[in-house]
Amino acid sequence: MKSTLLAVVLFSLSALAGCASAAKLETPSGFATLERDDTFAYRALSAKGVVIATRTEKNELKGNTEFWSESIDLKLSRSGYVKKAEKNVRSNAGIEGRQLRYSVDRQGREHRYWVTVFLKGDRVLVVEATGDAQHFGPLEPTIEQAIVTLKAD
Amino acid sequence: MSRRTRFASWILAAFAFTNVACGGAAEPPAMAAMAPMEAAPADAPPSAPPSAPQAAQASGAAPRVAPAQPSPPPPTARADGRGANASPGAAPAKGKEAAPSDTRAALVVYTGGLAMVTESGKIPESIDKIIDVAEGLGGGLMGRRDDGVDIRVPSQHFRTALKELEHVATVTGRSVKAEDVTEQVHDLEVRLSNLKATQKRLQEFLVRAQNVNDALTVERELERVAVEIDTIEGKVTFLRNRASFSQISVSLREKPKDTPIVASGPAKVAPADGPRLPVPWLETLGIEPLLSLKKN
Repeated sequence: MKSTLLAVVLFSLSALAGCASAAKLETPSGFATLERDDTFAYRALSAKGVVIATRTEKNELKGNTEFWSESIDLKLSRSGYVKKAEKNVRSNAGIEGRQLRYSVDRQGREHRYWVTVFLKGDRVLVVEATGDAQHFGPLEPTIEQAIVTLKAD
Repeated sequence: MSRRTRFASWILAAFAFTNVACGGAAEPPAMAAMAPMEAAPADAPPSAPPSAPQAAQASGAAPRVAPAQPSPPPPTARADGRGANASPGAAPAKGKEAAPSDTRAALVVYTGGLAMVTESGKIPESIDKIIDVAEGLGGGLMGRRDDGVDIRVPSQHFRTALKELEHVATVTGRSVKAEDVTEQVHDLEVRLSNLKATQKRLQEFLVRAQNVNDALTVERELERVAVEIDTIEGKVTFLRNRASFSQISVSLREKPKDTPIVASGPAKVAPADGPRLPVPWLETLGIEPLLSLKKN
């Protein structure tokens, strides 16, 4: 009985810890927020289909920002994504991160895909943004501002 | 011997001559019954024959003029040494010794085949070049397909044609076949000469026919000989044409595209396909999950 109670307590604590490290952004103007789901801790989209979202993943491999950015780059390169730019970013809360910017064809149209990886504690915080290049381009400053509003409670 | 019997003997002799000259064996039974053993030699009619034009005029048949042959053999000589005017009891001369084979120009029919490989999309262009080669040598096109062409060139340029075709595309296979038709043409020409001699004699007999029945009999025989002359002349012409032009069949196919073994530049180097990390969420990165509005 005691062991069962202990397990329930531990599960609850871990769940709370997960919720505490969930990454969130300030929703940019002109975007609507979607409900949280199993993949994305936060997701918002514009009327023209530009999407920005965050994930919170456990840093099981104890990798640093460089490790995760290279791993992501390798995966995306294999999938046909063409890297256009790469830079270091820093959130308003002082979290260091690495941003990779890609271009990819989807149904005959060019799409932009930005992925920014941050580390906080034992968590990997990933911020993604995508959209048709025609609609994404004008929103790039807005998206850059939204990314640095990252918060992980 | 009555005049009728003597005439029948001439006809019989003409049949015998024709059968010997053309390799035939048939002898009209009616004529055989008409003419017993006293038939005269075919080449020695009992009375002086009229000239050939007179005979033709008398019979109403146009004289047949044989096409000029380069070296016609003796008119009554056969390739096998037997002559139509040889006496019935004489032993045939021994085979080819009588034929002037060493003085005849060889007639050889050449047939060539080439398999070629050309660059991708260049088969029509290569076919045009092959036709140009044939026409440049005095030949021409015989047939054209999507993947090949048949050409003919004068036989004296056969080897030149093969060499020039090697410059059109890469040759991967060759075949050359030579068929000597010299003997075949010579035999046909001998038969032709003999038939013409027979024709001439029959025309003479026709002039001397005493009644309608005899005239009809000779007419029928003249007609048979004329048909045979036409057939043999056609065969000779065909064989000579085949020998004067050689056929070359060319089949073409496209070269398979090369697959580079080593990447030839830094721009398109494929990413290293190393071991995949045991991190499931990495595999879900990308625009599709982001753009999907379905609830997970």
